[in-house]
This record gives sequence, structure tokens and C-alpha cells, in this order.
Amino acid sequence: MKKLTKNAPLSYIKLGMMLAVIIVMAVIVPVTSRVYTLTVISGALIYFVACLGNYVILGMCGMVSFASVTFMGIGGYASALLSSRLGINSIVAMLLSTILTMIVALLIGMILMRLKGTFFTFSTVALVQISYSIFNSWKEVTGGPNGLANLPPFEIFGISLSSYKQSYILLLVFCVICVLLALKLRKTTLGRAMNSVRDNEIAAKTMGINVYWTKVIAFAIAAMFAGLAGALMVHYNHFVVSTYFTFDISTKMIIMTMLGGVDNPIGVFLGAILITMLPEWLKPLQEYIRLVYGVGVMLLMVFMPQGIWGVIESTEKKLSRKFKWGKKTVIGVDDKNAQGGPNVTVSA
Amino acid sequence: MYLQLLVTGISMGMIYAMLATGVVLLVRAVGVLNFAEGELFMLGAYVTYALTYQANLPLYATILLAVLVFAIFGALFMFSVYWPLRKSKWPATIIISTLGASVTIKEIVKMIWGNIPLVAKPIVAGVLEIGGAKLEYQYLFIIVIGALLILGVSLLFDKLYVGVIMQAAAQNKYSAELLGIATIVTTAATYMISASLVGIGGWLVSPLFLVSTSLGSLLLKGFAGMVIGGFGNVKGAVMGCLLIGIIESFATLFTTTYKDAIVFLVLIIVLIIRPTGFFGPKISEKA
Amino acid sequence: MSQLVLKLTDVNKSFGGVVVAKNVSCEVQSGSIFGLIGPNGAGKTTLLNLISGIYDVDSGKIEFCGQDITKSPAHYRARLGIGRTFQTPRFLTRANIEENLMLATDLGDKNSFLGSLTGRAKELDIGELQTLTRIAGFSFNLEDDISSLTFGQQKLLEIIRAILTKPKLMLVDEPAAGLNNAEMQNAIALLEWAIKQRDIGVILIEHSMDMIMSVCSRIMVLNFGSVIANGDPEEVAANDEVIAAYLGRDADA
Repeated sequence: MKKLTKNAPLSYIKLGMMLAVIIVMAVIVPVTSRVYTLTVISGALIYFVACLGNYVILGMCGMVSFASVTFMGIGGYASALLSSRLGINSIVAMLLSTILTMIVALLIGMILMRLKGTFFTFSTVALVQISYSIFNSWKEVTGGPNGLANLPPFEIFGISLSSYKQSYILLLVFCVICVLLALKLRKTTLGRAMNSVRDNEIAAKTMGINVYWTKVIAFAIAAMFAGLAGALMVHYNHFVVSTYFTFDISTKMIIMTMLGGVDNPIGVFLGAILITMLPEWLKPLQEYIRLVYGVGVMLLMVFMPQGIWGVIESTEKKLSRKFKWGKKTVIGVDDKNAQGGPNVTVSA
Repeated sequence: MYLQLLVTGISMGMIYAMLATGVVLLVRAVGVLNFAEGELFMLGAYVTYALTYQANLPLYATILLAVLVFAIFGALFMFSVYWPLRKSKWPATIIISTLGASVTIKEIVKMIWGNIPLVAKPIVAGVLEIGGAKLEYQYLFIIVIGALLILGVSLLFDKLYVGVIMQAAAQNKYSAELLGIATIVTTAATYMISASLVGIGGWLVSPLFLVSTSLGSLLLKGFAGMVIGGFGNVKGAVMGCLLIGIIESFATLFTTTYKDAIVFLVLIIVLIIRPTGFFGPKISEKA
Repeated sequence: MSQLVLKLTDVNKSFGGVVVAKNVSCEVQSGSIFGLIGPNGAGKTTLLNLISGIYDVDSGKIEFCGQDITKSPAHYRARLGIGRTFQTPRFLTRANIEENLMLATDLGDKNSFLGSLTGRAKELDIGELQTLTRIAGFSFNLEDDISSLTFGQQKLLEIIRAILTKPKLMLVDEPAAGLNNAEMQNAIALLEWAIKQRDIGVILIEHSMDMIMSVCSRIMVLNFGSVIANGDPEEVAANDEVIAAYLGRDADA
């Protein structure tokens, strides 16, 4: 017996916001922005894709992992090498390297997921150090501290994308695809399994969920997003170097994820945009930026750990409870319907 | 020659060990991974520099005041980073807050002391000559002081009543509070001890490296030591860090560029064979 | 005709020096409620944890529908058909009621990942849920948070969730604790539905003697980890050792 009450105006507002964002990003930005702004925003988009990885491992599965930059690096260097040394089309190279990254992550995950909570987080830090060290030292493959230059740009069906605008649009397309993937993941059995592992591991086990494998797969999926982001970055910049993949950048990405809202891909998007754009918008305060950043993060954790989107969602919940908006599917006994079990309890 | 390398290695290893011990203390007694420990370490270097070279205080006054400053800062740190988040629904928040704190501390230090690295002179100047090898007293000083401090701290926590209480309070706040233990006091004390330990470490290392804001990155080496030696206990962390120090030192015989890579190669091997480190808990233990 | 759903043979478990289960053996039939009682600390919840696989046994054998599951991991046992409720309900706090229940139906319907990825997101099948909730005697909105339910309602919902996993064996831990009389009756009604409509075997831990006596066909009494009685309700109630250990000195039988 479904009871449909009137849809929350706030839901329309959320929908409207998302639509506005899409229009702004897809139409207004490329048309009106200077090249410089476009490159900055493109950078944000790339980090956004990687942060979707954080969304999966941290937001959905509840594990703090710094490993995103490791996989960005693997995806990036792999794509760089496949396209520049083997002459493979850059888009194909990107997809191949994403798959490669996932396989590597699966193997690494199988080892690391045997560790509990803080141990695991800690081992991801070690992983980042190891990967950075390899990226920086293995000159033959990665070019060491000098990196690899002159990498092929994006090529679709033989046409090289030469302008920043075109590359931007391509990035946007990838972003949309990734967001849809992430949203779809939530609705699958795997997505629900991840949520239960995050919230109540013992309950998850008694619900038949193989906690270990759920974590490993989550890790691999997160690596997929990171690897793709790395590959995108490499072809966007036509350059790759180890300093792209440091522990500090990993930290920045986690903060992006938390600022926007770790529970929702759209929130992550907001976080990525804000963290990337704020230094630009606050240029006059150049000197104090990092201090504000540091203090801001600490305050954010105390007052707004659910992120911006989280605040929007909880406001919506409060309002919808007060004004009784939103679809409600009522299960069980109606107040008016006195039939039911041997004893009817009046629900609180 | 080898003796020199060994001493340098153990000395640096001791520094890493102090960082690692500071972190392990907080992990065991509070349950959090503090990524800002390196910055507390760096702060130690700057504070002692200021007291010694800017305020021109004699050694004993420097030490006393410095420890006082570290303790106060440690408590301050706890109240801003840990205390408000201790009941948070998201466990990641504390870790991320420490990340924010590390940036904040760095920037504040930069604002007070500027960007240019400062030079500190050895605390104990001079060189000890043993059969052809020249061992700088500073290195030996670090080894001795470091060992004493680490020993002292771990004895405090494992043997003395006070320490045991603090750990108990960390493992089960509810029961501890029922027993009348003010967890706020025990937690604050732990942070203060941790901050003081690494603060002194910063003082010890300042003559070796320049006093700069990048000193905090030594924490990552401390982390590496913890992985190798065993996460979660002091003995393992110390062993691992000493090992790292020695490996680093001897690796310079072969190569300076790949020094880091070698250390981390060892790290990879350990992570694969024994992810919890040599002295860490066995994985087969069930939650 | 009922079949043997669970068989424990000489199960032993200690934690350090504390013996929590000592040579425990029993059999549970489908379509019946098997009571598990004993003073606090007797090891009842521990036994459930051993059966559901949260703890490993030190020695002994656990057989589920003829299959030896002694060494099987917890999630595997859940997939075989062992359902569980807890003294304090374990729900996902960051998901709403619908998502919590879908965990159960994922297990019950054996939804596969690929199926849920390619097919439409399977909507929660409302039918059985409605029936069970009516029996439980309260109502809720699927979209609400778990926190909108009272403690008693959460406990009832946990039983419903366990039933939705289509188990062959249900381990129910003190369902009546914290419930008022009406809710307790509804809990009993749910369990009776489970055994009659779905032929489920139920192990029930309870302190409420009313509940135990009225629904159980067999009762086992634990004390300090050992079995001190195992039989039908009348036998057990008359057993002197049980009376002494548990029912209290002023029992009149």
C-alpha cells in the first residue's frame, strides 16, 4: 500500500541545482572562460574522478586509504608508456591502463585487506611512499624526477584533440560516465554490502556478506577511478612526473572528498571544485591560504564532517519530517486500520 | 669507516624511533594515527632554536622551558584535534583533522620564523676518535638521550601504574570513567608526553639538518620503521626504525640516489611476507 | 515432517582461562522452537556466536542440515541459511529502513552482483514484509531512518529481517528484553509464523519464562558453559539442578 505524499520542494531544489551545475559546466564554462580558468577547472575534473575512488573506499566502505595517488601513478605511467612507446591510441591506452591498475590493486588489496582499520590506513601510507620512491627512481621507465614529456594528446577516431576546450569537454564526458557508474554502484548488492561493512561488520557477516572480498573489490574499484584519473591527467598535460603522485596530493584528495560530502558523488564534485578553485578566488590572500586551509580542515571535521552535500541532505531530511514531504511507502498497520497482529501497538 | 656509518645510522634510526614512539603512544593510548606528529617534531626544533639562539638561554633553562612548551602545546593539540571528534560517527575525521593540523602548524611556524632554514650548532660539539674512525659526539648524544627517553616512556606506559591506567582508559573509556578515571586527564597526559618526546627529538636533530619546516617529513621514515618492525608496539617500532636508519646509512656506500628506493624495497618485502611487521600481532588472531 | 536442522557435538570453547562452553551437545528440529536458558554469563550468547561463526570452536562439531560447518566462516554459514538477531539490534545507521531490509532480501533471494548491476535495481518485495509487519503490529515508512523506530520496534524488525533472509535456522537472542507485553506477544507471533509457515528451526535465548514455556518444544539449560538439562518444558521445570541454579530457591515445583 503505497502512500504518495507531495514531493518535497527541496528535492526539486536539489534537482534544479544539479541541472544548473550540468548546464554551467557543459555550456557556460567552455564558452565564457579564459584558457587559464579552463585548465584549472580541468584539473579539478581530473581530481574529481580520482576522488570518486575515495568515495567508494571511504564513503561507501568506510576505510581510510591514501593509496589513490599510487594508482593514479600506475594508471598515468602505464597510459603514457602504452601510447608513447607502443603507439597505441591514447583513449585505448587509457582504458587498458585503467584495467591494469585494477588488476594491480586487486593483488595489493588482497594483501592489505588482511589488516584491520588503522593498520590498513597506515599500510596505504607506506604504499604511497613506496610508489613515489619507485616513480622517482626508476629512470628507465618513469623518467625519474624529470618525468616523461611529449606524450600524445587525446585522440578520438584519429582526430587529435588539440584545443583546451575540446579536451575539457572530453573530461566532462568521462566525469559524467564515472558519476553514473558510482551512483549505479550504490544500488547494487555490492554497494549495499559495502555500506554494511562500513557500518556494522558483524551484522554484515551474519547477512552473508564476505567482508574480506567486499573490501578487496572496493579497493580495486577505487583504484579503477584513480587509474583512469591518472591516465586522463597524463594525456591532458602531455607530461607525467613523480611529483604528481605524492602523499600531500593524496591528502588533498581526501579533504576534497570530505569537504564536499563523502556520502554522495555530487558532493565529491563540489569538494573537488572548491578545493581547486579557492586558491584562485582568494589570490589576494596568497600568503594566508595554506593557514586557512589547515585550520579550515580542522574546523570542517568538527562542525561539518558530512560535507556540504551532507548538510543539504540533512536539512532536507529535517524539513521533510516537519512538513511531511517526500514519497512514503507505508508498511504494516495503518493507524486507522485496526486489523493486524494479535495485539496492535500504536506506533510511536 | 663502517663504524662511522653504523653510528650515523643508529643515530638517525633513534630519531626515527622517537617519532615512531610518539605515534605509537597515541595509537595505543588513544587509538588514533597522528599525522601531525612530524610537525610537533619540527616545532621542537624551532622552539629550542628560539630559546637557545634568540632568547639566549643556557642549556638547562632551554630544556625546561621547551618541555613546558611542548607539554602545553600537546594539550592544546589534543583539545583542538582529538577531543571534539572523539565521538564522531566518521572515524576518518580524526585522521583528517591531524592532516589539517600538520598544515596549520607548518604555516604558523613559517609566519613566526620565516621561510629560510635556520642553522643550529651541535649540542655537544666535537668528535670522538676511535681507532681511525671519527664519531661526532652529537650522534652519540642523540643515541644516548633518545634511548633513555624511549625507554623511560615505554616503562612508564607498560610498567608503572599511571601508564597502565592510561592504556586501560583508552581501551575502554566507559569502564574507565565508571572507575573514576578522568579520561580527559589521561588522554591529555598522553598527548603531552608524546609531544614532548618528539619535541626533544626535534631539538636533537636540529644541528644535523637545518631547522626548517620540512623536518616533519622525517615522520614518514618513522612510519616505514613501524611497518617493518611491527605496528602498534614500541619495541617493534624502535627495532624497525633503527634498521631503517642503518640501511639508509649503509646504502650510501652504493648509491645516494636510490637510497630511498632501497629502504622502501625492504618495506614492500615486509608488507608482503608479514604485513603486520616482525614484532606485530599475528594476522591469524580473530577479532 | 521435520528434519534435523542443527546438531552440536561436544562443542568446547574457552577464552584464556575462562571456559564458556563445555561439551555442549544438542539437536534442533525444523519447525520448532528450541529454548536456551540459563543464568547471566552462562554462555548462551557465546553459543549462538559459535553457531553463527563469529567465534571458532576449540573442539567439537557443528552440523547444519547434515553439513559440517565447524570450520566454515560466518558469512558462508549465513548463506547456507542461518539467520541471527542480537540483544541490541544491529542495523546500519547510515542507511534507511528499506536499504537495511534489502540486505536481507539480497541474501534471501540470493541476488547476485551481476544481476543487480545489469537488471533493474530490484525493488524490495513488499508482500512478505507486509504480512510480517502486520503480525508485528506496528507500521513504518520504508524511507525513514532506523532511528525513527523505537527500541521495541527495532527488535521486532530485526526478527522480520532475519525471516526475510529465508533461513532454515534462526538464532534469536533475547527478543523480549526491552519490549512491553504487547510487543512481546507480537514477537512470539512472528516466531510462530516462522516455524509454521516456513518450517524454520529457531533457537531462542530468553529470560522471560512466560515466553519460553509457551513457545518452546524443547529447552536446554546452560550454567557456566555446561549443559545441566535438556528436555521438554515440563521436565526441565521440574529438574532440581535447574531450579537450584536458575529458577531460584523459592521455586515451588
